[in-house]
Amino acid sequence: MTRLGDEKTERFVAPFLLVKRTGYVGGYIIALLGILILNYSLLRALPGNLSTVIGADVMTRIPLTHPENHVGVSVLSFLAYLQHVLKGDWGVSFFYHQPVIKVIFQFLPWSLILGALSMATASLLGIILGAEAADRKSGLFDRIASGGAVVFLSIPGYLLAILLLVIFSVVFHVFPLSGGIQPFQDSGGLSSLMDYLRHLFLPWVTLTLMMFPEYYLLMRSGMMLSLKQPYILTARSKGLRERAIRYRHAARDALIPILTRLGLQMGSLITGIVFVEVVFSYPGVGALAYESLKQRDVLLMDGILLIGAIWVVLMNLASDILLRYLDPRTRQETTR
Amino acid sequence: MNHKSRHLSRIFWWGVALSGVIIVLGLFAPVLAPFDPWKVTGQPFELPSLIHLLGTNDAGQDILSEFLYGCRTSLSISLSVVALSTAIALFVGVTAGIFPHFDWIIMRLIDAFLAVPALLLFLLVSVHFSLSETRLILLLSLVFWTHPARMIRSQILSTRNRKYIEAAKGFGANTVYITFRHIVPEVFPILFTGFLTRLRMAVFIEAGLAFLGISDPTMKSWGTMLHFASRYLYLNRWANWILPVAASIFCVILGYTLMGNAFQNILIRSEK
Repeated sequence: MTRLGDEKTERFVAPFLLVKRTGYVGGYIIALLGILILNYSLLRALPGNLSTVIGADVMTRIPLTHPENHVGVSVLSFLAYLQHVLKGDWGVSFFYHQPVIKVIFQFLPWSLILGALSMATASLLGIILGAEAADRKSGLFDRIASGGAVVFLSIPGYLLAILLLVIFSVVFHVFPLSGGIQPFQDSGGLSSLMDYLRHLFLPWVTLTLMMFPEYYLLMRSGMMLSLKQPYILTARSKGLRERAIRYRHAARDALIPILTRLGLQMGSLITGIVFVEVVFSYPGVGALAYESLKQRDVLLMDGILLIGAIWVVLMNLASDILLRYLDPRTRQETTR
Repeated sequence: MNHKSRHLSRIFWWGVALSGVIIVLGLFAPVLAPFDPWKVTGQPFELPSLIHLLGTNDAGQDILSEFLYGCRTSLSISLSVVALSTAIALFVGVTAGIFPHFDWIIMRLIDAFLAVPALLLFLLVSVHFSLSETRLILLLSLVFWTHPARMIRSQILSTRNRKYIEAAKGFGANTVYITFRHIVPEVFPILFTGFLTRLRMAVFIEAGLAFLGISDPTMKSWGTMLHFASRYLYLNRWANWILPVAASIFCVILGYTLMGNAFQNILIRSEK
């Protein structure tokens, strides 16, 4: 183990130590293992044999345990299944006739860009509005922003998506009804980009409006507390400008609860992405999950669930490590 | 101060009114509904008329009756889910708080549940099983217990070492008595706010799953109405088909949110 004596090492090592000490990584391992067990056992719980579903001609041509065989998984033992999954062989999608991982990675970029973009705008909007509203508590700005946040918190994402689709695509024809790009139009360059952005716009707006209230409410209540702290008085007595006080001193403290809830927000982001992509028929992983549900493409569904869980776990770990660097108090607790 | 507390309770009553309307509609759905929602009583896609106040759907069933029975479904599923998950949470949370040997494994289990994207899990399960109302309730409760269980545990950990517990121990009270007489009642206030939050989430996710077409398609729920209505967006029937459902989902969730916020404010002030 590294010496924890001098402060510099401590600062660097602490985040990783925490991961080791608090056992929640154990929880994540349980989660991933649980999903694998579920994927494996549900596959076997299906009445009959998957091979009868897929068709006998596949059976006669490829040996059962062959990794490229869709039916293969259902005859493997759990350990062998685990081995395959760890090696990146998640089976073959019935519908796309391609390895599951390959299919998922074809659809992933669409969702990642949509998710990252909406997450960035939603958090920025929530944080700025929250900080400003907390400073003008019970003023007109605060009332409008808080009212808006509660309203958007109360509209489920799929509902908002349908309403926006009806208003902008069905009634006013401003934005396209579905899809990620206009098909059969490979002009390239700027016009393709504009086309891409036009399709991205409504899903992005929906997700942003869906997610910003949570950031807003957390930020507002956090700022209310941190603005009362003594160090704000100190900053004020130093004659700092209000904006500097608000964002450089108070906001830093208020950001911490937002970061700790990043993992939970990942869950709601995935939910939101699925609904939004289904409504707008956007070609991302969420819509892929829905399609594979309709096609009964079990292995693909398994793979998407696993990818989703890995994503949540990674973001949880990232937020935790980030938190150790931002908040010295949590750092001290763990090294003691 | 006086003015402020009156203001907060006004928000609370707004919440009660908003969700109360839907609750009443759901309770009296069989009386209020003009038709049997499963019966074909007109042509498909009829516009609103005096007979069918909100028109008819793609199968020729009365939309108003469907909507009223939808209130009922939404209400029964969300209430059962919240009741069941609260019971699980109470049991698990209290166990973790009182018996330290179970604490580690329960907390890891909760972490595990929180790391699973719930919606994707529902999708996967529904690939394998058809989700009837009972199964849906069980499945949702299985996911919903984690958050309140964690809150209950931390509340218990903070009450466990208080002086009056020590005193009760000094009088010779056993663990079971102390747990139910002194520790569990301390949990109820946070349980109530959690109750409202999860009620909101349950309404949201129940309609969402039905909207995706996962739950029983013959069940009359807001979600299935949205599911079929969004297939016929191009017919321009959204005003009488989607809008009532959207408005009522919004009202219920807003109602629960307002009630929850008002209650939380009261809680925060009583702690100070």
